[in-house]
Amino acid sequence: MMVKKIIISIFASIIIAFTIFLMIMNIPEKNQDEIIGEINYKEIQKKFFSKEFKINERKIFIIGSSYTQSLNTTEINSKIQKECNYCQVYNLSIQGDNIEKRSQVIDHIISAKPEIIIYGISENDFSNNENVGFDNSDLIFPDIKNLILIKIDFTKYVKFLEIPASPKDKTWNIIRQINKENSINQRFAPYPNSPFLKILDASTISISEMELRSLASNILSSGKINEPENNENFQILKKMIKKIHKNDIKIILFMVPIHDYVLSAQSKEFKKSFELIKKELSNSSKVDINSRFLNYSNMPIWHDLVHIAVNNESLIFSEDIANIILKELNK
Amino acid sequence: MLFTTLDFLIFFVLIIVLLFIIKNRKFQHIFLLIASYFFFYYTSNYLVILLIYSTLMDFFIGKQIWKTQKIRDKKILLVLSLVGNLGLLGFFKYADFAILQFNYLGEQFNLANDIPFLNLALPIGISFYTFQTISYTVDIYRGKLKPSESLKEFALFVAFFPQLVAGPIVRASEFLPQLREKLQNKKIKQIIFQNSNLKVGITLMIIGFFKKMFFADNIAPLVNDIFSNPYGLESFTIILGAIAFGLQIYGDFSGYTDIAIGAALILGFKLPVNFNKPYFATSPSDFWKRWHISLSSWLRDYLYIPLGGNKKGTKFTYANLMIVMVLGGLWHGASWNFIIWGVLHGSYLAVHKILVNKFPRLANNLFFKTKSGKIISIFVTQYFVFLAWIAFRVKDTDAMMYSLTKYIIWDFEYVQTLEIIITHKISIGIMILFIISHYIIFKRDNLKTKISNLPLPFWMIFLFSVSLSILLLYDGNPEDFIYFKF
Repeated sequence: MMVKKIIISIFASIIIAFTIFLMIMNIPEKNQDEIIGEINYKEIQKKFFSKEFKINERKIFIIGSSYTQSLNTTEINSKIQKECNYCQVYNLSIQGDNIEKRSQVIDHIISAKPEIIIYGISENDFSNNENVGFDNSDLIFPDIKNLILIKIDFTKYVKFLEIPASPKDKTWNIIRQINKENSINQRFAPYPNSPFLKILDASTISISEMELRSLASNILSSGKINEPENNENFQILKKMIKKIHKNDIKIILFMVPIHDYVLSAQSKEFKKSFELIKKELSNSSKVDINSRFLNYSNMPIWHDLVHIAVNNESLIFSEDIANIILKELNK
Repeated sequence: MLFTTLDFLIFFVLIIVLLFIIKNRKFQHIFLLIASYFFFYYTSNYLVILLIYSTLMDFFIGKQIWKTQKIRDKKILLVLSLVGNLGLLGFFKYADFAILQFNYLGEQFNLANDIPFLNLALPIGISFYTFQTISYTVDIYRGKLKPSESLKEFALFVAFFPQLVAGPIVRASEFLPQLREKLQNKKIKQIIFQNSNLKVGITLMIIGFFKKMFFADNIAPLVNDIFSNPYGLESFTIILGAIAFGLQIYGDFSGYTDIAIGAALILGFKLPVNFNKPYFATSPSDFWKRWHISLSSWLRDYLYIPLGGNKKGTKFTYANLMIVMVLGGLWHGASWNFIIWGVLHGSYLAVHKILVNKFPRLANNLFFKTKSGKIISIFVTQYFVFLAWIAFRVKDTDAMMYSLTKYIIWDFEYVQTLEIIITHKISIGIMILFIISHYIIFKRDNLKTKISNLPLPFWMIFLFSVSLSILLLYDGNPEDFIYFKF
């Protein structure tokens, strides 16, 4: 009898704890990135491209995701307009953008008749982010663990219950929210000609080397990049470039800055696969891919390991992009 | 199979349910053995063969040692068992390390002998189960233990899943009688579900999960941040890292042990205690009576005493202490940092012994019996213990030397340290909580028993609060148990 009571107590405590845990994990957080990136994505772009631009304006569009949000159009334009009076650079970056989303609005972009499109890409655009940690190639007997995990597929239930990848982070975010520490999360448009950017105050902060090291100690596996013929995003990008070329618009690709800590954590196989993608892209689409600015890692310009801070210390990024544009204009 | 995964929880609940349904003692032993092999096979696949090999070899050698009358033959059989076990351990754990040293030496003497590495998979728990089987044959050789009559029972002793992967290192003399007792006592219908065992077992398990998932896993980011690249860090940062790692490894390993002891207790088995408030040790020898007790007592009984212990004069005693601790360090892993960790602890023990022998008046001074004397002793001892943790944590020898130097010679800089404290507020907060709870446990003996004796409603509140804390601070990318690598 007592045993039954103990067992019931154990299950009751765990079920109550788990229920409360689920309730807490499902408290909505104020994540503006998702709102801007998903809900209004197409609509706000449609509106922008349907407007009339100045007749003589030579438009240069920078497209990309949050990786390119720190490109300062004021700085770039002042540099470009010294050599090209009618040139006007727009930073059309959108947080959470990717190749697939961009392909859905490429017709609108083309309809605005830019002279040059400059697109910031990274390894992540071609990676499927699947976990490649489990290697069962050396096993002799059947891999029962993998068989069971495939059958049960715990991730399905985790998704269904909406449990975040790191409950710890969610818990602390909620505590911060309660403490109203999120007042820093005010959003603003950083500079002109950046219609889709509404960035957080926090994005203006360059973090210290110590904080970068701290982030680096939690870098996860970089996923896997499929070969070009099986890489969906590669094929979409190829089609997109073809369309752009067909409309007599120049397109330049450049590698967005990523800190050395992330690059050194990438596996050899991952790097090799990405090189193959770049080579194939350059050969088949006849497009220039500007290599990554590798001197950035030692500069105090990082907001995190993959984002340059939106502030005056990081103007070097805008200057480098301006130089790429000038090179293209002078061709 | 990690204790902190859903896989283990499902596995453990299934075992309990099946044992509850099938109330037959003989079946339960076979079932537990199969479950233990499944537990091992689940993550280690074909390496289960090594476990079976070690079991069969020592079962039959043990029997032969007992039967044989001639001392010489007994010795040969014992050597055979030692070679078999240590050979297995050496081959799988130390082969690549030996090749690396050999290649390095070859390079120094300009010899072209670049031997390729074997790149063998390290069988999980090999250091633990080989030590268990060695103690079995040695005890039979010494006449202290009668060999097990049943292969099934012996196999269960070697493979018993709660302690298979990371101990405690159980002696056959402690485990086998528990099986016999249950078979002989006809009144016991089944091996599990005694009220007290169940409640104490669950309490221990939940405390173990709490130590590992709440404390250790949340302190780990701070430790990784400091020691993944310690160059350029200030003394205070290194000291903070050493303290954090000391707490992390204690939470991690003693948490594992609590889960193992708790799980075994639910199944009706008592495993030996492995920790006894080690950070309140007042001397290096006291520390080793409190930290990883099953390993230190194993090293004492099967290495230190056979080497002569303290019976062959002071010089031999110091040398023996050093040999035991260096081998103890190497037991943790094939790497120089573990050897250095062993050397440090060997030196502490030897120096402490020298001080006690040379200055008996100082050692027996009444001041060290007072509260202030004890506090000073604890701080001095722990200063050296945490210094050695740096060697344990930092694999790269240059980075280790840098960290050790900074730990010993303070630079009195603090800007970076303040920055790291601000960056890792959560870890620091959890460290403070850990120290406070460790102090409460030190002050109030038998806290675990007291918790398990709580009336059911209060016990439920305890379970609920701890479970919720674990869930809320669960890291999406948890660390493996540190001792699983050994």
